[in-house]
Amino acid sequence: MASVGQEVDPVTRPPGPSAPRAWPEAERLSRLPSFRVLVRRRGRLAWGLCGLLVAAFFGFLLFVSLAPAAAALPLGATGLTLGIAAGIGVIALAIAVTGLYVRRANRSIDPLRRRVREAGQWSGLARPGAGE
Amino acid sequence: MIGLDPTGGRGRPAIPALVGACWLALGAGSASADPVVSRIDRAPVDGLAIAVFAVLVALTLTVGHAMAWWMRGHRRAGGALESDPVRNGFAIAGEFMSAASLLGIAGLIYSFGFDGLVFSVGWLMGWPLILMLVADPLRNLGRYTFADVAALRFRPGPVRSFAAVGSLATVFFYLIAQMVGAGRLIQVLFGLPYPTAVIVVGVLMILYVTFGGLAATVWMQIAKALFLIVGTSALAFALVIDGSGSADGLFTRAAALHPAGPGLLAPGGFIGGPVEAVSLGCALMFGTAGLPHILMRFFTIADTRVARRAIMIATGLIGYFYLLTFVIGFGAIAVVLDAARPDHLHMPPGPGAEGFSVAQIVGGANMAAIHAADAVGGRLLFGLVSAVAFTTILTVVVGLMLAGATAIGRDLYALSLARGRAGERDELRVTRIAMVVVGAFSVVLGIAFEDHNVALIVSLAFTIAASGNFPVLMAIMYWRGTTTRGIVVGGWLGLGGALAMIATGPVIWRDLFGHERALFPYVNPGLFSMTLGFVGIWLASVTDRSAAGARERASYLAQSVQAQIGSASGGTPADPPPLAQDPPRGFEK
Repeated sequence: MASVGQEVDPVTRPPGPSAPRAWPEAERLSRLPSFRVLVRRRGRLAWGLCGLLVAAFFGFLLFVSLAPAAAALPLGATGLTLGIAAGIGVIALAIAVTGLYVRRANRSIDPLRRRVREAGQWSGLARPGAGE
Repeated sequence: MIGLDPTGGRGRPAIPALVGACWLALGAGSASADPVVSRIDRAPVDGLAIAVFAVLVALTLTVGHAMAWWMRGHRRAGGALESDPVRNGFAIAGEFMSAASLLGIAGLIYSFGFDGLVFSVGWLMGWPLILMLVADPLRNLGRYTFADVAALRFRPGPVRSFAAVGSLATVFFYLIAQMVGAGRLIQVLFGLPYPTAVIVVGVLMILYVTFGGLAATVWMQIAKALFLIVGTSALAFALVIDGSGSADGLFTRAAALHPAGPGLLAPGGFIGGPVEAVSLGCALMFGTAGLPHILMRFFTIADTRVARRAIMIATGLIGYFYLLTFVIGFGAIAVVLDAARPDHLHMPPGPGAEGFSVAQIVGGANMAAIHAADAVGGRLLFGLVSAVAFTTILTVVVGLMLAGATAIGRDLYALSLARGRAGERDELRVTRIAMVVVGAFSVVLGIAFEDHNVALIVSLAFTIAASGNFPVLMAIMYWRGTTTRGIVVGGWLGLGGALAMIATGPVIWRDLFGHERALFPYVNPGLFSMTLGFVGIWLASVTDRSAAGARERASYLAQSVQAQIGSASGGTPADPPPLAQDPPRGFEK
């Protein structure tokens, strides 16, 4: 904490004229096995779920714009069509994905994150003027 | 590439009409020979509806302000609000849901059927994305907007002016949509000519923002979300119950009454082809992540777990709301086009009405939801839904005007033009002037965009955010090769490209300027301008050989560690939200 408190410069303005500033603590932390597990798990969760949503949504768009006749097929007597059902399905998927992410992030990612933080002296990037 | 003419078949160029419209507005009533005015005479003016409307609008504003005032004394005590995911969820949802979506999506479905669903789905898609890819890392970084994140590692000056112009452009399109929605509402409710209605709305909003309406408080947002959910639920259920006596389902009845027939339930009425659809999808899904200040509330909740749960609740509410807009759109067709309820159309369908068009609806297709309320629930529901729409528009406008004026006053004037040497009073003065100018501009543009669907106009705001802010944000967060040069070049390319393609596209070049054909063929350029932004960032970054660029790349590691694990205080941002924040010290020298 103390070392960061003295920093008044933004991250990219090291005391020296032009040499890239070194971040030894960040480098040490980034090599920790627990950090790697955190990055992998969080990345898989977030990017995987995002990929799923992007695929579902753009799949829906391509389906209704490339095969409008198929999208207009009626399901039952209410006039509900395949396209409308698909759209409602994508909305439901988005809500489900959000729920899943919140659950996983709260239950398994956050504890991992705490563990990495406790393993190092990381106290955050320098915030100009902030004495943390 | 829009299949049907969004100007509702009239297709007149708006700019010449604009001059006439302003003149008309000044001498309102004297030009009754004009078809526009005689048409408006038939708007359903009604004492009860206006009374319900006035009481509800006044009530929401008073309750919002009273709660805010009452809470002010309790805030320091570390109120219960902070730790309540439900209330925060409502507040987050309140900040995002707007009456423009309700009016616009219902209007799109009323005119074109199925394609309105694409908007309903697309606007929800941005939420999970923003939570997973943007909000969590930003929280860990203790930063709220992409300009603030950028200031961590990159030269803040050029990034800030790009961010300010991007915000302004987004805010303008958003404001136009709100103005059109509110103007139409006042037109239908009070029977005023449209231009007069927009001017009245504009003046009211500028006054409200300038004198004390500045605080778009949590309670205001909660009240707004509650109102919107209750109002749209009431309308949707009334519409469903209204049709429950009939043997046919909602969609079948709508298709039977609509001129498009069974084609109403098929895609392609509004969105022409796969390229247009994907392009619109990019804007709706990725634009949310680039909107200025959209997730402010998420960052002010101290406990991360509570914040995530609040977002979960907000997503549920927003999804429910967008489903309702869809039901309301089809329900509106079933009741407004019903020959037994002729009050809502200038020329009801039936014998002798050859070439009947849905554009005959009083006040334009944007008012489909409002007419539906009147048709199924009488004057009471009509007043209620109008009041809900108007107050929600008002709160959105307050936020937008504030964001626009702050972009001018703080980012462009105080930090960029005056290079941090402007005093607080200068900045405040410029911000106030900017507020009036932004308001006046949006009135003029609101009149010009009279006949456009408000959801379409809002989607253009999202296109701008998806093309400028979104690629920059992604590059900053997830690509270690990003440099200031890349951000500036790519950001301006995406932003400028989006603006240029919108300006030469069908909405502005053809419909507003009255040219025969648009130079750029697609209504929504999102796919192209977003790609332009990403490519620009990449190309300008990899060719950047400067020492500053090397420093910026080297600092990525520290940022990514921080984004993963947060700071020692548990990832809670210690700073006040940027709107209330002083200019960062030491940055702008």
